[in-house]
Amino acid sequence: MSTNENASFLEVKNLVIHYETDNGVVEAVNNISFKMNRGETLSLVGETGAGKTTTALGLLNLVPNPPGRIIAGEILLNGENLLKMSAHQMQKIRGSKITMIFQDPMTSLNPIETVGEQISEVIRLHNKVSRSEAAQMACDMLEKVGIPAERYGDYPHQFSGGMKQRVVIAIALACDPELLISDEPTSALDVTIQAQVLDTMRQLKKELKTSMLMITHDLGVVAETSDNVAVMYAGEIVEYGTLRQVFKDTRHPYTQALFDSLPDINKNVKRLIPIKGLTPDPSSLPNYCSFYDRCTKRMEECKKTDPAVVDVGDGHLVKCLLFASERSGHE
Amino acid sequence: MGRYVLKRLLQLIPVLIGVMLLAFLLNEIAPGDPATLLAGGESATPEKIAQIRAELKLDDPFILRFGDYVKKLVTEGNIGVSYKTKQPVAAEVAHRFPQTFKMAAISAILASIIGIALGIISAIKQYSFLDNIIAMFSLLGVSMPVFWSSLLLILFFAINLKWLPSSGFSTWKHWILPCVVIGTSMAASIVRMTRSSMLEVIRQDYIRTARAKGQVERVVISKHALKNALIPVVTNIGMHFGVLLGGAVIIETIFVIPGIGKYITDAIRNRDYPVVQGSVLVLALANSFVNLGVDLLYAAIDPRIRTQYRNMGKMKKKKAALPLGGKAA
Ligand SMILES: Nc1ncnc2c1ncn2[C@@H]1O[C@H](COP(=O)(O)OP(=O)(O)OP(=O)(O)O)[C@@H](O)[C@H]1O
Ligand code: SF4
Ligand SMILES: [Mg+2]
Repeated sequence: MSTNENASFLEVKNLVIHYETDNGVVEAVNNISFKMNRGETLSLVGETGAGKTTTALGLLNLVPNPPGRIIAGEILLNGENLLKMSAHQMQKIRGSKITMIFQDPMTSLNPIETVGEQISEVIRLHNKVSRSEAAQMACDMLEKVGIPAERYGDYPHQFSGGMKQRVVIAIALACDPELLISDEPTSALDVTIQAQVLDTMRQLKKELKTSMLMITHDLGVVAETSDNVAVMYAGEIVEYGTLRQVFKDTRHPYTQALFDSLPDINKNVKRLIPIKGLTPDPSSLPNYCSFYDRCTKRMEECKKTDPAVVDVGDGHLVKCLLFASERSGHE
Repeated sequence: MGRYVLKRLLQLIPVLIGVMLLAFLLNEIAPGDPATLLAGGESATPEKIAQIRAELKLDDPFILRFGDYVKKLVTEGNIGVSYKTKQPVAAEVAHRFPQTFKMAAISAILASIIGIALGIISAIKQYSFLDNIIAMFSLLGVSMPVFWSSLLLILFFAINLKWLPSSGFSTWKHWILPCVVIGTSMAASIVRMTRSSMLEVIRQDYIRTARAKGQVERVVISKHALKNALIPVVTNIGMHFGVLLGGAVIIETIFVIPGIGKYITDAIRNRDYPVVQGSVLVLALANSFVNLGVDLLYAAIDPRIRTQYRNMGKMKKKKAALPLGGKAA
């Protein structure tokens, strides 16, 4: 998968992240690689514990340490390896070039600072502006995410969950990031608010031409927003391709199972229903296909080797032995 | 907020009445008889004892004596006259309480500065060599009996080195040893509290948010983590300070400081009820003010509590939003 190297502005190569806990090493992210082009939206889907959040934190080099540690790999942003940067260089990237909207808006804001201050803090960090200019810009940001600027001096506890998430979005977008990572930004919100918040994000993303790494459980959202899709299972990307490739030409048995577990993608029930069986224990992963125990198409060989990633055509990547003989262009 | 403070001050009245009643009752049911003690112990003649009982109105019914006490308190501001010395309790308390307050305040300030600083260090350097050293010292600090550390310090600094006086309270030098002793044990507990509170806060999502903004680690700690972590620490300090205001009998005895602690213990031993009652009243008042102070400090740190107070005080007026709040980054 080394075509078109120059075009991708973000490239993750063989990233490995472990949590070294007292009860053993949790292999949260195992040797994943992917690329993103400018302006593209890549969705990262997978069950709970697949390693999605860990991957995202890895991009910011913010995996909590201890116990987490980035063991190996490269994260190239415009060709520069983030993992080789000094703490100071990385601080300049966080909050301005790469920003993140976190999973839980209830706890993502500092309870004892005003929301306005929390937005203008990031503006002051990355722009040479005075305090009052930063405050003015923060007010504009508030308006952009649909909160009246008068609420600048309010504290997070005076806001609803949806509004808090809007504030978090304002923080993430305040410095025109090149890459916005959003980690299930709406999973903690109720359904009506979810749609509103997603709309706001989508609109702002379009306005700012930001690339987005979208982590979600919601295949409906994936279908609506993404250009490319990566399916994660037990710390690995098991299928990667364009939205069309993954949704209409599904190859990996796990991806297939995800779709099969959906009653009807066009109906309102869009959440993933867990498929049969359990994800393997990330602290003792098998050395063969990690989906083996739950796979309906498993074969003898599957228990013998760890399948290689295969390009089944036009950059559609699948990590499954069923396709071991296929090569690009076979279709 | 003003309304809230006023409300809290008004609440003091029933609290103080309750405290007085309790102190009275306790004296009532405590074994021993002041008249017998004043008359010279068990060998005194029954006539003498009866005469003293009459003088002190000890035979009046409880309600009558309590009513009399409250009346004198309200009309004359008189909190009692010592059975033993016949001196007004207020005068003695006015003489002793400042010493106790001074000792408590210096110790608490000392302990807070050292305790919070070391607590932060051991939290951000968790499991490091430094963390272990600090943990060891704080264990030592909480477990070493104060009389023991006092004697060691006196031996070393007062007797061997002759740098500091070993007892008394006339110059600032006299205060160093007692305040160091009290401050050390208090600092030890503040270190532990600060450390665990900091560790708790550092794991929070909003700290991750601050880092994700690109904020430098020093500011993440000082602006985002520390302020949040201080909330339980403030309670801890306030509690310690309140206890200290009740006097530190052992320290007062060792360093010969005329504080409130020794005054009360002596009075209890002598069944000098008015002294006990008067001092307890003053201490209750002092503690109430400390609590109020702690609660106001909370409000200063935590806007959620501010909102709560505002609602409690039923303030209708909405505070105008300040576009430029917050501290320097
Ligand atoms: N701080 C941590 N210490 C130890 N293990 C961790 C830690 N954080 C995550 N893990 C483990 O790493 C694995 C991946 O977790 P991660 O949070 O990345 O999953 P996720 O795909 O984001 O799941 P979810 O959909 O539930 O958010 C899980 O097995 C999890 O238990
Ligand atoms: S490699 Fe085998 S077990 Fe694994 S997903 Fe493919 S068919 Fe199933
Ligand atoms: Mg997650």
